[in-house]
Amino acid sequence: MKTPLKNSSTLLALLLLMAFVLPLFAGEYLIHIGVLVLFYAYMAVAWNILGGYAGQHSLGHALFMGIGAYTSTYLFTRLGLTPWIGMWLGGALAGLTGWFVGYLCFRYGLKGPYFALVTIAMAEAAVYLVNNITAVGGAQGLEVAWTGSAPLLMQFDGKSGYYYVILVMSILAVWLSSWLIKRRFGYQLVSVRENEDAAEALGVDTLRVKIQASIISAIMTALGGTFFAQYFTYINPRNVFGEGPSIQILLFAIIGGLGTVWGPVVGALVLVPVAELSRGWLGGSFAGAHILLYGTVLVLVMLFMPNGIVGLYEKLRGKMKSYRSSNQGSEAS
Amino acid sequence: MVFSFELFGQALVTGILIGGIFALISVGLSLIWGVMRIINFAHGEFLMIAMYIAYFLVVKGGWDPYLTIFVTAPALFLIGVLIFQSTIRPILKDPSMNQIMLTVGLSLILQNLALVFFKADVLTANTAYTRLNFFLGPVVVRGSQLIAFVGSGLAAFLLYWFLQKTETGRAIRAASINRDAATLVGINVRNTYLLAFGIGSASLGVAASLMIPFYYTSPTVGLFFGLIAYVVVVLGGLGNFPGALVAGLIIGLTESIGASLLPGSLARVLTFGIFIIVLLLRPQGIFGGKQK
Amino acid sequence: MKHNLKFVLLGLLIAMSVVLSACGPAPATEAPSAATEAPAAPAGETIKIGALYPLTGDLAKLGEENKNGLQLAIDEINAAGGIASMGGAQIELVWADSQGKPEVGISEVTRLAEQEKVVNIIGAYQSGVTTPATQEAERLGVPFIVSMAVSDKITERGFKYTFRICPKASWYAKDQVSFVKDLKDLAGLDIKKVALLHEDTDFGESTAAGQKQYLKEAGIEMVLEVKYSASAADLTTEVAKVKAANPDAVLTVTYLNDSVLIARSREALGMTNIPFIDAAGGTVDPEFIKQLGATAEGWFTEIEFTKYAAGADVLNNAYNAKFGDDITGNGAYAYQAGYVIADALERAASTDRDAVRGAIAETDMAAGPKMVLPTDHIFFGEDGQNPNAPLFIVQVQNGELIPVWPAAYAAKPVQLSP
Repeated sequence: MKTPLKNSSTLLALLLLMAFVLPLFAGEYLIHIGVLVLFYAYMAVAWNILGGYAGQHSLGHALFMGIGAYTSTYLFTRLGLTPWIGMWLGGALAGLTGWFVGYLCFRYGLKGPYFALVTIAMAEAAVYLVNNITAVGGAQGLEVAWTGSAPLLMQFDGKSGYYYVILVMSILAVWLSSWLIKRRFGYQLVSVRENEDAAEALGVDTLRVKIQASIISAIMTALGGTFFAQYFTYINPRNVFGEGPSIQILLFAIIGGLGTVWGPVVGALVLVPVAELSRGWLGGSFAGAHILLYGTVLVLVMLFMPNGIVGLYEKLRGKMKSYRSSNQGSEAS
Repeated sequence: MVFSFELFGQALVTGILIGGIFALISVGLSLIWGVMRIINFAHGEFLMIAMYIAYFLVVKGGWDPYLTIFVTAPALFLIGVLIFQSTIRPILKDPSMNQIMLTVGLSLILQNLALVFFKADVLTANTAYTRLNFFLGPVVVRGSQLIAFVGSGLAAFLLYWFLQKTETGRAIRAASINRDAATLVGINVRNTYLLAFGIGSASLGVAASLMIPFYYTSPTVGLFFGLIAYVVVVLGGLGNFPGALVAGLIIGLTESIGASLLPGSLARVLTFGIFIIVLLLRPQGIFGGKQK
Repeated sequence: MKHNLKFVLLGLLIAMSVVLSACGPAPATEAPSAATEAPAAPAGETIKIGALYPLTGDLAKLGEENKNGLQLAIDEINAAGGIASMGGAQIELVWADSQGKPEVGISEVTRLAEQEKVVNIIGAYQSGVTTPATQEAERLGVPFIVSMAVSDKITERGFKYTFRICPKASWYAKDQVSFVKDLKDLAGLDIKKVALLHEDTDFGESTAAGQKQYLKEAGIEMVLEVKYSASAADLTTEVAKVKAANPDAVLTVTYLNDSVLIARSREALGMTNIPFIDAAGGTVDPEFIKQLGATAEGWFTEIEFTKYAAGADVLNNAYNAKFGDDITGNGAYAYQAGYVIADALERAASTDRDAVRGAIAETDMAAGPKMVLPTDHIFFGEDGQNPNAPLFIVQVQNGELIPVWPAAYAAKPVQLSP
């Protein structure tokens, strides 16, 4: 699969450079927006592995985010285990859950909206379940007490430390995503998405492929959950499990372009600043207006740019190409 | 764990009555989903709009809550049709994910329009029926819930009759089974979809009018009911009306009896658990129904 | 070839970021300025104060009560000439919507502090939002006055920039239990068994934790604890569960929706002879009485502010005139927060955040037009907590919330339902 920027590695390098030096110039608020953009881009890329590549649309991905967040935070606050290690334990637990969910659903042949509904039910059930487990704080959640700069404990003075962490995570995620899609596994995923029966007939073990995608996606999402907990310093069942965060995770993949490498990143890059800034301008004076804006953008994108921003870009490029070649053709004759 | 027959009886009665409301909220969704295969995440928000209409008619206009049906049902039909034409019809052929995301966007818009117009106030109407109570021994039966239960049953039955016995209804069913064949037979499938969406929305108008005497309205009231509608529809089988009724009762009882037996809010986990199990083992619902 | 180059590039970038993040905030100009950065507005013009509340979402109504109270205070202060010690500078409120979500709260604190450059933040109503928001404010060095958020921990973390005017969750529970004990003298009721009925988010849970603790200390048996989700369609079963446990009194923690459902079920189930005592939840919303009418009669609840306290009607009338409703505890404490910051600014005569922080810490306001809480003075302890945040038990009598406890403020005796 061609990524739109494959032929412009210089552009990519430039963007990366800009991303890296941002904290040197920008104030805390801008860095904060940068963190949000990168965080949601990361989560969208993670989701995309299962939802975009494999075409299995999980509407309850926050289940894995919550597992990651709670595991590392619990181990950190109760046992003092550094989140750098805790996040991998969370990832392992989420991977197991991803396997379980994948096996259960795909073994029983759940597809499309049905799979989506199961995932939502699981995410919501997790909210109510964890609400009632007092050992992990119940509804009161868990707080990550800030004790000063401690990079070894994933705590930084100022926002730039966190920024670099999520920047590296995002880069690695995009890299993994683009690497996967070029391998046989990637082709298998896409074949499952496009036509599962045909893929099966051609010898692809569709069940195994889907489950693997589920596991990878789950682990990545859980790692993001740990970052969320460390950055926002407070988690409760509602803000890390549940329908709300689940929708947020996949929103940017959809708007940016499902099933592409850069779609999720572009989606986050465009929409997160819009949401944040519109809340800043409108939120206080016109309650609800910023969410209204959010919803409207979503509807409009779905109506007019269903393949997302990247899809639109590809379409335009395609048009440009055919325009150029038809001109050349007419010149030649 | 406190248990007594009195408590159990109370949970049973409440569960059945609330289940009837769940059923009515779900038949509309069953129709829409069954016919068009659209997962409408804004279903709960349509209910919310209807409840606001009913509320204002009752509180500002002094209407009898049950008479508001004559306004809420047609109003919701119109709103449904408008929204269908402008946003849903264009994407009928798009991937289901896009449809879902569009309706998610719709639900965000509707919730926040309500917030802008009506503020965040939680509004409860005090009607003549609100404090009406009957007693079956120690168990209290809320009159308003009983009326809602009967009303829901009536409305669902009417809808069922319409689908089974009338020409238009049969056209809708034909279009949902096989749209190409239906087109061949001369059925205007597009209009059929429009009608189905309108009727499905109108049923929420009826549900809202029935609920106003005992439930509140607010911009976020649709969130919970929207999700429950999905649970009920899946349990009862897509497009299966009697199934939706029974499923509604089952879920109502699960929530209610679950709340009486289980600590905390774990009853909700039970509801979702049933949902997941049904989706896995018998996605066509307990009573069969249309194939997915 | 290209592939290898990418690897090298990636490796370089990762190495760079490890180094950069380990070094802490990049240039030296970044960190120190964040803490004491003086807001852009020069003295004599406007002073920006941030206000963070849930203006949208489920708690928007309550957020609005806070907003109204604060706005009323600031309007009065500005009309009276603003901050005299700074040349009559007017206070400008910069509103921030937490949407009821902790992560949004943190985003907004960052925006208020770094983008809007406010001198101080007031907020945030929900404990779940206030807890991380105050931590963020602490990191950024912005004083934060908590007008209303009750989780005990908020002022138990050793923070220097967090100040709380309102009571702690455990105080609500403590006073509820004290009232229960006093019912013996006030109404001849000997309460031996109590049931808890509360909503399942942190408001309900933190208060219930306190209730359990104080009931135990008082030697009163807690026969049952029923948790419910505030979005339930019906709470008859939950109330019936409580009835089945045969309590002498019920302590509740509610929001408005569920309090209405519970009140109706309580009446339908014939439990009006059992006192229900709420902890300043949905029951103090004027809508509770408005919507329930006679069903609300006899309910007990706690409030932080009563218009029946001496001199309180001045504030209540002003609020009523502007917003059409009686002022609630939320509004009163937000109003008070407005005067606290104005008082601090007056004494600090500066918009430097640390100077303002110091001034807030030295607050000592005596009862008067600028200190409307029914106590003789308010101040902040070492932990930033104001210890003088009185609570009252009120009862719904004839459609009004009448204070019945403590004795010094009781306007009328307790009325028992038949």
